[in-house]
Amino acid sequence: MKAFLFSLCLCLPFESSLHEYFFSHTDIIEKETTFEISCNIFIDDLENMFEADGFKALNLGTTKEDPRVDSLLNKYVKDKLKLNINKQVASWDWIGKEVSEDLMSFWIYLEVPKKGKTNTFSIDNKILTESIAQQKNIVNVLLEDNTKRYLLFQKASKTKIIK
Amino acid sequence: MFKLYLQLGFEHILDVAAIDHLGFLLVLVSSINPKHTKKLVGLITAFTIGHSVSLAAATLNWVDIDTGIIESLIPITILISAIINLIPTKILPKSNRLLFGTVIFFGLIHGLGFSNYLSEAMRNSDESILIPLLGFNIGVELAQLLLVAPIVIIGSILFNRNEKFNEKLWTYTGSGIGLIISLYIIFG
Repeated sequence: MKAFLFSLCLCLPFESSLHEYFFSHTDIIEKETTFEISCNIFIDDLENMFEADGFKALNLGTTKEDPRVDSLLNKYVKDKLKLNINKQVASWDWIGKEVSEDLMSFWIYLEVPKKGKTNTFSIDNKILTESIAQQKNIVNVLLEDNTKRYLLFQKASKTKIIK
Repeated sequence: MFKLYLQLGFEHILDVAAIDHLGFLLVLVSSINPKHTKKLVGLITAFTIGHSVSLAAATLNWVDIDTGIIESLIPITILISAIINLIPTKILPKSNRLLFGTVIFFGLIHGLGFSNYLSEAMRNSDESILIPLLGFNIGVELAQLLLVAPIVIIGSILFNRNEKFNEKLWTYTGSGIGLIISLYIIFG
């Protein structure tokens, strides 16, 4: 009991920072004419990544947000999240972004216009995996033919072929 | 989806950042002679029941406890288990009831730690929680068995090969390493 109390006293001032979890979530849903993509990424992780790239004081998600942020984010996501549909790299339209309810993350909305029937579909997601070793990116894909996949991307992951 | 969360649970335990879990398993396994398989299986099952219950309870929002407190309690559970093991049996006799009670209780605390991780993984996903919960838990168990197996095998080899190697030495070695791990987590 003494040992317990002693160690409790020792530890309480230290809020262990051992576990910090790094996740992003992306939903990709195929609709009649488009693929709707919504992507949830932690704001502080993005901030650190941009800062390491030389973009300081972007004030992500605040009222003082740098006006370049949307185009920076679009460029970054384009670079890291790669969709390949019918053997072509898909390009998307930036729809917008919003701060999540808990103010911790961004929801980024994108839309890929469809060109006919989807015969092949593959995806790669390297969001933050190069800057954060433990980064895990979860991707849910729902295609029109009811193909449903839950995918996990991390540092060494390669492109995943859905169909 | 099951597979994804199975993988997350599995990798979470094998992750370097989850060294606290390895530390606890080491202390747990070292508290008994590896020849006593039945008791060993019993203890691991008790720990599993403990953390499964609290993982489910926390993920289903039946309990809500401060993450910071849980994260700092986990290394303390290792520290206490190691200290209990290191106290000479003359002063503190080995009691099965005490051992199983502690293990279940500490399992509960570890489960709350897992739930932080699982809820982060499930963040902003509107899927039902049951399949991720089940997958994650089974992933944790599989990884746990994978970690315990080599410890038990090394223990058995040491016991068989070396007559001088006894239960005391086994307990002291395992708990000593566990103690160092817990101190490292707390102060490192």
